[in-house]
Amino acid sequence: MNPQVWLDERGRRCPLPIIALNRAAMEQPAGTVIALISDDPAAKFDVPAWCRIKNATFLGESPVADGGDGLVFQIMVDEAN
Amino acid sequence: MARIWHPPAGLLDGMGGQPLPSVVATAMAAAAAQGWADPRRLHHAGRQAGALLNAARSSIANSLSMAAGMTITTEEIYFTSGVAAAQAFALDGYPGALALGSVETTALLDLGEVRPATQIVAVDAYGRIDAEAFHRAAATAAIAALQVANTEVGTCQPIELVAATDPDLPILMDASQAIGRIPLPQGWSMLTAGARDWAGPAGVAILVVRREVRWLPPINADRGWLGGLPDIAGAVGAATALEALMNEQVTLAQKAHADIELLRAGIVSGLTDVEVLGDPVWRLPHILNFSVLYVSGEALVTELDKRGFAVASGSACVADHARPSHVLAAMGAYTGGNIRISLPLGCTTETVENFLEVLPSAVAAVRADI
Repeated sequence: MNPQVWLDERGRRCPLPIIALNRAAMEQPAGTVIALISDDPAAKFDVPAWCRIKNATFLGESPVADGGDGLVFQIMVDEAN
Repeated sequence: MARIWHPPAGLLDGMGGQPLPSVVATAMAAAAAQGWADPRRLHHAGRQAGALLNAARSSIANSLSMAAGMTITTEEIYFTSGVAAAQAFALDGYPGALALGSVETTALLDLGEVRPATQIVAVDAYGRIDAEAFHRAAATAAIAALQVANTEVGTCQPIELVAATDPDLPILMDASQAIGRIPLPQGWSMLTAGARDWAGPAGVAILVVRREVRWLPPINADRGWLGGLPDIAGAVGAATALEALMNEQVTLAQKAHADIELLRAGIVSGLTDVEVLGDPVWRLPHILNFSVLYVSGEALVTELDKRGFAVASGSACVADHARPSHVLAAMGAYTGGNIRISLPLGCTTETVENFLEVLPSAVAAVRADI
């Protein structure tokens, strides 16, 4: 699944990456895959927890393609969001 | 009976300390005036100090017997300077593989890390260990370490189930925040707790070792004090404060339980995008933890402080190492905008009601600021 929306939130700390993710999820139709790049140490915990609370699907995390700091988190917007 | 605890209005971080009750401060001043000598000395002043220490030890044994629902003797009580030190002494005197839960204190997890074959057992969304997984870990463990209840989110651990499932596995039980708040579970072998939890002095903790446990004190435990010269005034203060709490534990626990119910309901109805954490039922009566989405924990703690309320947080921006609380992480909880409430002894319902009145506007102010 290729993400339709990319959010590069590197250098920004909690709660900014989650606020950006929430805003993007609200703007997108159900089924949209969003990729969030974040180097905030809290994102590893808060992206999956946000998905659980907001009924989005957490698809997983992977290293940044260029090998830099941070992780790429992928989520899918669900109907109920 | 007049209450002896008078925390400042707005203090909702009892775990961060509360003023010593005057009866405790007075007892400590008197003990310091009379018990200044090394209790090992044979002269009059030394014997006087020794007598004070013995009396404090025996008073702690009496109070703990009430808290634990069984007879604990004076000889089973050891004093030391803090809970982490008490746990280190307990484990030093009991070699072998350790099994513990992933939400135990960082100090205990650190002790586990330097010990061979330590097994860390995962927890559920409430922060409670999986008893089945713990049983599997117990198969190769020599000793288990578990809190009566998690001090960040309040969730109780199934100590009695672990003890019944693996009766030969000794349990080192951390009773932090639990003594005098709830009846302690049965089945433990060693117990630790810090006197500040019951509004005693900060530098005194206790280790209780049941008589049948094959524990060898790793250092000389002179007159029950492990490590350094005994703090006579501190021991007397710890004993006095615990006696006062045990006299009122039932009414205090009922009141705290009701106040936390009030908080829980008010937080859920007064805020949007909030998650209340921990077991709502099987919990410590005075602790509540919640995360507010789209705010920083640091900003919310600061905003509440401006409005007269002292609270703690497990969010990364408030923690020491820029990492969120390992307890919240292990539970899979949302760690941002986290608020940790622990009612101090003597907390009034008025403080709780006033907090609920202020909280929505404090959250709104922080959210508007982003």
